[in-house]
Formats: sequence, structure tokens, C-alpha cells
Amino acid sequence: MIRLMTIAAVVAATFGVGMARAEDWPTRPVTWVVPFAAGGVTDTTARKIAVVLADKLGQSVIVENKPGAGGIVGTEGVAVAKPDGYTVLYASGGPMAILPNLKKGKLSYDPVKDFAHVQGITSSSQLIVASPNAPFNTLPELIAYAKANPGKVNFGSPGIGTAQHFAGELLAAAADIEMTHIPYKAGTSQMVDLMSGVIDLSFDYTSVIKPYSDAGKMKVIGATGPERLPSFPDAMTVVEAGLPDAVNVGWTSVALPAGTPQEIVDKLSGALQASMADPSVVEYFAINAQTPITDKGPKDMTQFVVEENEKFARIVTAAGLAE
Amino acid sequence: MQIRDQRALVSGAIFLVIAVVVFMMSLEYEAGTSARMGPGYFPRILSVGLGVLGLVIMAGAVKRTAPVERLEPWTLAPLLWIAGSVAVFAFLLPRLGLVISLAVLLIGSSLASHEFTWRGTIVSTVVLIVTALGAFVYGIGLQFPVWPTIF
Amino acid sequence: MDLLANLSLGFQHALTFNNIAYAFIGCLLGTLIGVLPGLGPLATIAMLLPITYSLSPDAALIMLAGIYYGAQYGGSTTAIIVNLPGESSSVVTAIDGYQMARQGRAGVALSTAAIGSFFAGCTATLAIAAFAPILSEAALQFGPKEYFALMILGILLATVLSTGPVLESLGMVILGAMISLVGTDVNTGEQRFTFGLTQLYDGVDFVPLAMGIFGFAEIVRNLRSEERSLVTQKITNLFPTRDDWRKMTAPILRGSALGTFLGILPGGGAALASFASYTLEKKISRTPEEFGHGAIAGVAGPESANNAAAQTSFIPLLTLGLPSNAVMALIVGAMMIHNIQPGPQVMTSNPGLFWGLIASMWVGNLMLVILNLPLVGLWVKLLTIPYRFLYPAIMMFCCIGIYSIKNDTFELYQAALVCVVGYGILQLKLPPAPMLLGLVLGPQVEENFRRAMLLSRGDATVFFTSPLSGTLLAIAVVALIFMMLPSIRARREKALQE
Repeated sequence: MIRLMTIAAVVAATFGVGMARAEDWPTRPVTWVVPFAAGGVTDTTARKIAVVLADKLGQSVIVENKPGAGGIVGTEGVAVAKPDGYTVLYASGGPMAILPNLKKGKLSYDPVKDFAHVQGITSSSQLIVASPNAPFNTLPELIAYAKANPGKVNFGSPGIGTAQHFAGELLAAAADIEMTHIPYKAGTSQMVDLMSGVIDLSFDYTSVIKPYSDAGKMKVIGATGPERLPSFPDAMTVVEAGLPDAVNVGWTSVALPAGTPQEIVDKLSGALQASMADPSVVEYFAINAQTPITDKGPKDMTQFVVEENEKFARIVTAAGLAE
Repeated sequence: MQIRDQRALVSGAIFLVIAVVVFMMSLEYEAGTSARMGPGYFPRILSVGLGVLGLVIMAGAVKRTAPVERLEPWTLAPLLWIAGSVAVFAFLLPRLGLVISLAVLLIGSSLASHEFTWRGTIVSTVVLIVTALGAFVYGIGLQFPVWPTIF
Repeated sequence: MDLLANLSLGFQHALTFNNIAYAFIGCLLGTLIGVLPGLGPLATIAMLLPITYSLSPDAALIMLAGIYYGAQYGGSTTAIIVNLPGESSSVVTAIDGYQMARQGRAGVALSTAAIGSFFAGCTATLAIAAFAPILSEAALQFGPKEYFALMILGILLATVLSTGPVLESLGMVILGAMISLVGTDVNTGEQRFTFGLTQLYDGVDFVPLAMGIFGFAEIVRNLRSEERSLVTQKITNLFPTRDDWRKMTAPILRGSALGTFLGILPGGGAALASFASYTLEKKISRTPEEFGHGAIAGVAGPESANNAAAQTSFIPLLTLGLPSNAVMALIVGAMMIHNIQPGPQVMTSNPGLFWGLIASMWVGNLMLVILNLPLVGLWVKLLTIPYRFLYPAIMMFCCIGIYSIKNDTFELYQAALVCVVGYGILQLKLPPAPMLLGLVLGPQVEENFRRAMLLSRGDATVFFTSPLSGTLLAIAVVALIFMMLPSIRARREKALQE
């Protein structure tokens, strides 16, 4: 009898493991795929949160870098992963909204249909910076200068299809000015050229710009967010300059493959919200001038991704950038 | 005309063929203008350069003053064992995990040697797999599937 | 004096018991992992980065710097012992270092590399301490057109590298540049030669290509000749003789100077430095025919140059916040995880950290010598392992290294393919080193050329009207003429003798 019960228990346990019930999740380490190289802002943020998240979930969280093609390679990998909650994606505006529209029909995933969007993580607006010798000091002066000298202003970006590139295109379209886009390969390689005046203008995040502007190597002339940044209270926003269409905000979020049980989505979202309230993470966000978007849970985040895709579809068509 | 330098002639011819193929492929990409170059501009410059070099090298190979050099024969068996075991390792790794795929890689590549013995190979394979697991998987925590994933 | 005050502040930070221990652990780990074929400094640091997250900021950076130097030196060891360069700057070391190893002089080559690296490290550390702010201004003088000119000069100079004819080397550079075309075009975002494979969007990585040729294809060739071990002659003394010392002193001095300067330029500085130093040594040598057959100057110069460059590549990072290569980008990440924003303000806001790091570079270099000179004997022993046991081990480490670049098997398939192609290249006696240089520098040439043309709105004369780029291009033209002359002459003489 006892033996029979043991067998039954073993059988039940085997089936239990086989079926991996959603309410027990997570029973083994969770892999958090960062579709960018180790060492970048995205990677660093993920690692900072992962430490706290592991604590909240009671399982280790392994950050795995799968860089390539501006985030497409890693994002693709998660889209086809098993929807069991053990493969998590650190999603962001590039591979989730910009690139799907820029490379329409060429990507193997659909940013809305192939993912369960779990939780918003950060949002950050860009600063508009100019070379220290540029003949303009404010956003209106830039626009006046660009109008008087059409095509003379060169703006750099870390590459075609990045949020920073779109910030420039949006501003040019909204202000009806002509600027020449000079693409670079990575975030910081354009900074030397901006400091020495080879290019005149650039758009980038506070964490990138602050060290240079503090040292007087470049001047901040504006910001692309809807509100002024606490660390740069003097930088006029594009909205204040009368160009609400030029608002551009970069964001990151967490997503799972579509088809993941709702219990897991909710549990992960809760654990992430708790992690983001942790003092070490709060401090990290503050230092890097990233705004946490803790309020965007699974429902709001899905809606947000849909809206972002609509927005970039419009920009790509308007600027004639589709491939 | 006599071919004195076979090696240089073949090298030059290969350069020329690659140049022509890359040039043809780069026709698919726009050349653009010199101010705003398209993706096809630079590939075309490179293929013209390589093509010219190829021709000059070929011309040098048939010159009367060229040194006499023959082609070396290929040894196909070791090449297939080595390249093949790397490809098989790549195929097996995500399916059967590190331990089994490493065993296949190590034994497969050992078979390329003339001095192959089963005993020596098995001992060194076991030692190397244990080293790899200890150093990479458990030591510095590289992300590897270690065992077959059958779920 | 400021310099002394700063350095003493730095040494106070670096010479605490804890920090010395971390520098040592870093160097040791870096050497041990960097020495494995297929794992260059980049892969090594990426692997070990997480270990440093739990340390204090200075300890973490000091340990990372140790890992970096350790990996750099470990990579040179592999290049010398088994002819496997783990990254572009050790491609050159492999040429003469491996030949020395085959002649039984591996110990001498390794000691030379260690001594050269140590001296270069000391020079570069002093240069950083004394001139960091001034040197960072020099980097600002290099815009797109200056970079283009520098790269062209570098490539032309590198073609004398190989033992083969100049034209064939040049062809291999172009071939390498063609391979570098694969991927996303930076200026238009269009995919070139990717055959629809997303894994190719970022181009072809250096490691699978280098491992495919220098690792796998080389093994295939060695197997044919049925060698019992890699060394063809008896292993002689491990340490340099007086004659060796005499031959390496001047190259070390020149290499250190060249590397110190080229290291500050963001992008490809270290690789260019070692190639340039080799070229320089070969050109001014009284016995240029020794190069490619185990010339000690061919190890001493490039090794000093690349170590000095590795050191001074911290200058743009520390003073401008610019990571000059992928390794530096990883170190930026490490700084950020400790809530330090790298940039011009680090020096003033965090002087203890800044000068501590500089002092610890010197400590790290000293550590390397202390650690590695005793290890030389051990590495040389590796060469006596029968080849049939050695090469499967090399293959295993290569495969693990290749996989861990992106945690993906795609690069492994790529390396298998390169093995076949590379075997063909070796059979035709075409020089593979210039191809790797073309792969590394090709994208920079194209990018900077197109960027300069975009900025000048299509006016090509800017390359000559700017004094700096004009001078560099003029040197390139002169160099090209000089290079062609002896090779043409040599061929004639050879043909006439027959």
C-alpha cells in the first residue's frame, strides 16, 4: 500500500514537473535576455534590476546578452522562445517600435502580436546639444539659423533608425528646417566630432551628455521631452518652442513571448514594480536621469506599444525613410 | 606563352572572380552621388581595385621572368574531419548540450590525425570535458546548455 | 609638483592591501583565461565583468584593469605558442613569435614580450599621468578626413607585413575590407551581402574569422605534415641572452613611443600601433630578411606598441568619456554600474579613483612580469605535448570562445566555413594577416570617407587641403612608391639568378 502511494506520488510529481504549473512560477532560474552588448546603458540597467528582482522572485535571474542588428537578433530569439515565463526580454523602443516600421515586412516578429508586454521600466527624453562654437545658444536661435542657412546644419546620431536619429528628423519636420543627418556607428563616437565642431548638433540622453556639458565641452540648447528635465532646468523643451510634434522619448520595458499564462505575466509585473521601488534601483535611475514608468502594467504597456508603433509608422512615411 | 607561376596565376584569377562577383552583387545597391553615397559606392570601388590587382598578378605569373611555382595538393580528409566536427558541434550544442557535443567535437577532430588511438583520445576527451565544465560553466558561469534538453 | 602629488595620491589608493590583491587576482584571471585560444581580451572581460559588480568602485576598476592587461598578455602568449591571435593587435606578434617558438626560442619570445610590455606600460603610465589632458586634445584634432588618411596610411604600411609579394598582400587587404562590407550600411541603414540572415546584420566578427584561419585551417595543414609536436628544434634557453637584449632594446623604445601616441586615437589604435611598429622595425632593420622567420625585433616592437596603446586608450575614456574600443566600452559599463559617470569630470570629481587607476595600471604591469616570467617555463612545456592531443584541445577552447561571443551557434558555422576557405588561402600561400587588418579597418575607412564627403557636400579636395590629412596622405603615397621599388627589384634579381 505504502509502496503504491509512493509510486502514485512519484507519478504525480513527474506530471507536476512536466506540466510546470503557472502558479508555482518560477521554480528554476529565469533568463533575462538583453538584446544589446554587455556594458551599455540597457545592459547595466537590466543587471542592476536583475539583482533585486532575483530577491523578489526567490530565484536567480541570469542576464544574457544577445546583441545584434540594433536589438533585432535578441528580440527575435525571445519571440519564438517557449512561453513558460523562463525567457524574459528587455524590450525597448528601437526593436519594438522604430525598426519594425523602418524595416516593415523584413522582421520575423510582430511587436504587438508576438509578445505579452509585462511592465514598463524606464523612459528618458533626449537633450539637444550643440558644439561649443555653434552660432546658436537656444532652440529658437537654432531654428532661425537653420532657416537662414538651409542644409548647413549637420546633426549626428548613433545610427540610422535610432531614437536619437528620429529626434533629429522629428525636429526638422516640425520646425520645417533642413538639416543634414550624419550617422555614426555607436553612441559616443560622434562626441569627439561634436566637441571639435565637425558636426553642429546632436540629440542624446542625459547620462551621455551630462559629463560633457558639465565640463563645458558642449552646450545644451533644448530637450525633446514634454517637460523640462530636473538636471537641466534651463533647457527649453520642444513643446515650449511651439513644436509639440517634435516630442521624442526613449523607453524600455519587459516582455514575454505571446501565450505566456496570465498568472506569470501578473506575477512578473508585480515583482518588477517592487524591484523598481528598491532604493538601490531608485538611486541608479536618478543618477542616470531615467524616469521609471512603474505605472505601466501589462495592460497599459500593450496599449503603449501599439501607440508607439502607430506614431513611428507615421514618421517613417512622412520622412520617406522606409526601406 | 608558358605558365611559370601556377600559384600566382590561380591567386590572381581567384581575386578577379571574387571582384566580378562582388561587383555584380553590388549593382543591386544604389551607388548614390559623391556627396551622398549609397550602399553600392564603396563595394564597387573595392571590386574594381581587386579586379585590377588580380589582372596584374596574373600577368606577372605568365611573364618570362616569373619564378616557377606549382600548386600544392589538397589533403581533403583532415579538412573534412576538422571543419565537419566544428559544424556538427554547432548543430548539437543547443540540442544535446555541452558535454555530448564536446565529446563529438573532440573525438571527431582527433580522427583527423594519422596517429589516432582510441585509448589516448578517450582519456584526453574526458579530461578536457571535465576541465571545460569546471572552468567555464561552474567557474566563471558562462551560459551553456550542459545536458540534453528533453522536455 | 602636481604630477608627483597626483601620482602619490594614486599610489596611496592603489597600494592598499586590498587593491594590490585585486590587481593580482585580476591579472591572474585575465592571463589564465586570455591564454586560452579564442578568448581575447574582449571575451575575457565580458566573462569576468560580473565578478567585479560586488566590489567597491576602485577595487572593481583596478581588478578590471588587471584583467585587461592579463588578457592582453595572455593573448600574446597564445599567439606565440600556437600561432592563434585572439584579437587584431596580436596578429602581428604571431608572425615572428610563432617562428621563434618553432625554432625552440618560445621562452625568449615570451620573456621579450613580457619585458617589452612592462617597459611600454611604465612609459605609457607616465605619459598618462603627465599629459592626459593635452593628449586628449590631440584626439580632438582627428575628424573624419584625418581618420580616413590615417587608416589609408596604416593599411598601405601594413602590406609590407607579409612575406609574400606586395600586390598579393594588398589584394588580401581588399578582400578583408570586402568581408567587412557584410552587414548594415551605417549611412543608409540598408543591409548589404547579408543574404537575409539577421545574424549577419552586424557584420562578420573578427574571432570566427581569425579562429577559422589561424586555428582550424592551420591545424589541417599541420596534420598533413604529421608533426609530432609543434617545435621543430630543441628548446634552448628560456630567457634572452645578452645578444637578444641588445637586439630588443631599440625596438621596445620605438614601439612604446608609437603605441603611446596611437593608443589615444579612438578606434583601432592598438591594432594599428602593433602593425605600424612591425613595419617600422622591418624597414629600419639592417637584416629585414629575418622578419617572418623569427626576428626578435618583430616581437619586441609590436608587443611594446600594443601594450602602450592598451594603456593610453584609457586616456580618451578617462578624460573625454569616450571608449576607444569595445573593451573600453565594457569598462564604461562597469563604471556605470558603480554609479560613476565616465567623462571629463572624473579627474576632478573623483581624483582618488582617477589617479588610483593610473597607479594601479603600473602595479598591474609589474604584477604581470612577476606573474608571467615564472610561467614562461610552463607555457613552453605546452609545446612538448604531442600534437595529436594538443590540437583537439585548441579546437575545444576555440569553439567555446566563439560560441560565447554572442551565445549563438551561428559564429561556429561561420568558423567551419572559414576553415575551408582559409585552408585554400594557406595552400595558395596568400598572407592571411593583411586580410584581418582589412576586416578591422575596412569599415572605418568607408565610414570616415563617406562621412567626410557628406560633410564637404561631395568635395573630395578636402582630404588634401586639410594640413593633417594632406600630410598623412602624402606620406602614404611616398611609402607606396618606396614599397613597390624594392619588391620589383628583388623579383628581377631573383629571376635573373635562375
